[in-house]
Amino acid sequence: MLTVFAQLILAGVLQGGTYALAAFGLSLIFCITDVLNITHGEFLMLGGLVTYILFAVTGLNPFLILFIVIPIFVVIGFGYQKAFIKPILNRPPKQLLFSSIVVTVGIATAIEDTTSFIWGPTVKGVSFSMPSFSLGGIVISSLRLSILVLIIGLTIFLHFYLKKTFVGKAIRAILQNREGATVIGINVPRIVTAVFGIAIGLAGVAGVFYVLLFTIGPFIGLPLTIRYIAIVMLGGSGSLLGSLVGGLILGVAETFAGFFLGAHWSLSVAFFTLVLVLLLKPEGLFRHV
Amino acid sequence: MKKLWFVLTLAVVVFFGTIQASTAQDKKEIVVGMTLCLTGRYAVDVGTFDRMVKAWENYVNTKQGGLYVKSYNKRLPVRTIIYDDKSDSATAVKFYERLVTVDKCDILIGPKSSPITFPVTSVPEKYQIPIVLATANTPAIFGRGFKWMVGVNNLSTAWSDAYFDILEEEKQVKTIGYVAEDTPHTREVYEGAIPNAEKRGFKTVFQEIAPAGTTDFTSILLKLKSADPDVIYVSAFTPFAVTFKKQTKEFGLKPREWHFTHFDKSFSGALGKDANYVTGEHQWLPGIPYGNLKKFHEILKEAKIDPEEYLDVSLHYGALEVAEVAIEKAASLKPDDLMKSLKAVHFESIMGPMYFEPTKGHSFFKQYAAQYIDGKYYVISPKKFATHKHVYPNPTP
Repeated sequence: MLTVFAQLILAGVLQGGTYALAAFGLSLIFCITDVLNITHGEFLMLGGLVTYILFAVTGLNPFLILFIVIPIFVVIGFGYQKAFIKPILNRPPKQLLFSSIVVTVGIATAIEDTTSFIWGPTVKGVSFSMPSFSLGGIVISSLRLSILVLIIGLTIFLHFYLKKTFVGKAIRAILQNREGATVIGINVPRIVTAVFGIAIGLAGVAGVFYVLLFTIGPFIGLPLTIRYIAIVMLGGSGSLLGSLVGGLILGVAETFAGFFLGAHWSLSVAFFTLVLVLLLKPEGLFRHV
Repeated sequence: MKKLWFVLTLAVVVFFGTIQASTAQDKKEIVVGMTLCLTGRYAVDVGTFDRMVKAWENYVNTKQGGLYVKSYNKRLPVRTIIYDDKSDSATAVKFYERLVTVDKCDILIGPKSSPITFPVTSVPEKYQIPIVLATANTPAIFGRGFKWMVGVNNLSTAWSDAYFDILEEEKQVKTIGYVAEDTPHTREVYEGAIPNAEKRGFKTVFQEIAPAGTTDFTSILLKLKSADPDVIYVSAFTPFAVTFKKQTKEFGLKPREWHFTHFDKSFSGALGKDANYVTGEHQWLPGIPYGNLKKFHEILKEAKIDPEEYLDVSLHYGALEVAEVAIEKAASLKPDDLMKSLKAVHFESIMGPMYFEPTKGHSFFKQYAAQYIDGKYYVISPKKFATHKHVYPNPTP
C-alpha cells in the first residue's frame, strides 16, 4: 500500500507541476493588469502546435525545441499586448475586466478557427517517449520526471528573476503598489509588456510539455484556461508559489480521488477541494510573488 | 341549377389540380439538407465533410446526370444545403427547422454524433420529412418509435461485435479489462461491450469509467496492473485514448493486446510505433469489397479526404448513398413515398449490406475489427474480409 501511496503522490505532483507552469503566467497578467487573459490556453495550444510542427519537420528532440519556442512566444507576447491589450488598459477597473474578457475570448475564438482552418481540426501528438524506471517498486516515467525537473528549474529561475533583476523588482513593485511604482519612476507600460512576454512565453513552454504528455487540438485552449483560472484562485493571484501549490493540490487531489473513489470522481473531488480552500481562505493560499 | 353546380365544382377541381400539377412539374431539383460540425468540438471528426458532400453532389449531377425521379420519369439535379451547427445541438435544431421550412428540402441527412442528432430528430418527425441519420447510434434515438428516420449506423452497444467474434474463434483471450471515457457514445459502446464479451465467455477483471478530459490515469493504471487482463479495452475518443496509451507505456503496463474503439490516423500519428499492433474498429478500410468503390474513391479524392484519417466519412457517405437509392426507387418525391422507399431500402453500400430494422430504423451494419500493423490498418474481422491475420499477443516489447 505504501508504494501505491508513493506512486499516487508522485503522479499528482507531476500532474500538478504541469498545471502550475501555465497557471503562473495567467496569474501574473491578472495581478499586474487586471486583465483576465482567456487566450492563455490558446497560446499553450500554439506552443504545442509549434513543437509538433518542428518535431515533424526536423525530428529535433522536443527538449531542444523548447529553446526555440521560448523566444518565439516571448515575442508573440509582446506583440499580443501591444496590439490587443494596450488599447483597453486605461479603462476603469471593472470595465477593464469585462473588456478584457470580451477581447480575449474573441481572440481565442479567432485563434481556434484559424488554427483549425490552416492545420486541420484533427488532434496532434508528438510520438516521443523515454524509458521508465522502477525505484523501490514505484514506476517513474523518465519523460514526466524530466518535465518536472524542468518545471522546478524554471520556477527557481523565475523566482530569482523576480527577486534579483530590475524587471523582476519592478513587477513586484507594481504588484505591491501601482501608483507608488509609477512615482519612483518605473515605466509601468513597458513592464506590463514584459509581463505579457514572460507569461505567454511560459504558456508556450507549457504547450511543449503538454504535447509531449497528451495531445493537442485547435479547441483545447478554453477548457484549459478555465482550469488554470481555478488554480490561480486557489493559489492566490500573482503568486509563483501559489500557482505551484495550487497546481499540486489539484493534481494530487485528482489522483487520490481517482484511486479511492474511482476516476469518475477525480475532477469533482479536485474542484470541491478548491471550493473548500476558497471558503476557508477566500484570498487564496498565498499572496503576491 | 344542379348542372351548373357540377360544372363549377369540376372547374374548381380542374383549376387547383392544374396548379398542383404545374407546381409539381416545376420542380427542377432535389434538395438535400444537413448540418455538419464544421467548427466546435466535433470538427475534429467531420470538419471537412462539406467537401465530401459537395463532391458527391458534383459527381451525381455531372456523371450521373442527377437522380432518377419516377413520378417525372426523368433525372433531376441534386442541390445540397449545408449549415455549420458548430457542434451544438441547439444550433443544429435551429438549422434543421430552417432546412425544412425555408429551404424546403426533400430529404435530410443527419448531423454528427448522437447528442446532436437526438434533439434534431424531433424536427423531421414534426414536419414529416424523411431524414437519414449518419453517425448517430445511441439506442435512445431509435427507441422512441419515430417514423420519419432511418440510420446507417448500427446501435452503439454492438460496436465491437466483430472483434469479440474473432477473439471467441481464436480462443486465446480469457480476461478483459475495460476503461471508458465518460461521453454518451463511448459509455454506450463500453456498456454494450461488457455483456457481449461475457456472453462469449470472456471474464471481466476490471471496469472503470473516467471523465472526458482526464489527463492522469495513475489510479486506473495501478488497478489495471494488479488485474493483469489479457486485453485492455478502451472505449474513448482519440485525445483520451492517446493520453491513456502514452501513460500505460510510461507506467510499464504490458497487456497481451490493446483495443481502442476509435483509432484513426491521428491516434497512430500521435503514438508512432507505440500504436503498432493495437486493435480497434473501423467503418470502412481498403479491402472491404462492397458497393460502388470507384465512385467512393473519386468523391473522396475530389474532397481530399483520407478515410483512415476521418473514420466517420463512410457513415456520412453511406447516408448519402441511402438517400440516393431511396429517391431513385421512390414513387415520387413526396415525403410519404420517400419514407416508404427509405424503409424498404436493401442494397450493397460501401460499408456492406444496408437495410433497416423495420420499427426502430437503425441498420445492422457491423463495425470492422482492424489492427494497426507497421504503419497500416488491416481488417482482421469478419474473417472473410480479413486483409491480415490477427496478430496476438502483441509482439512489441
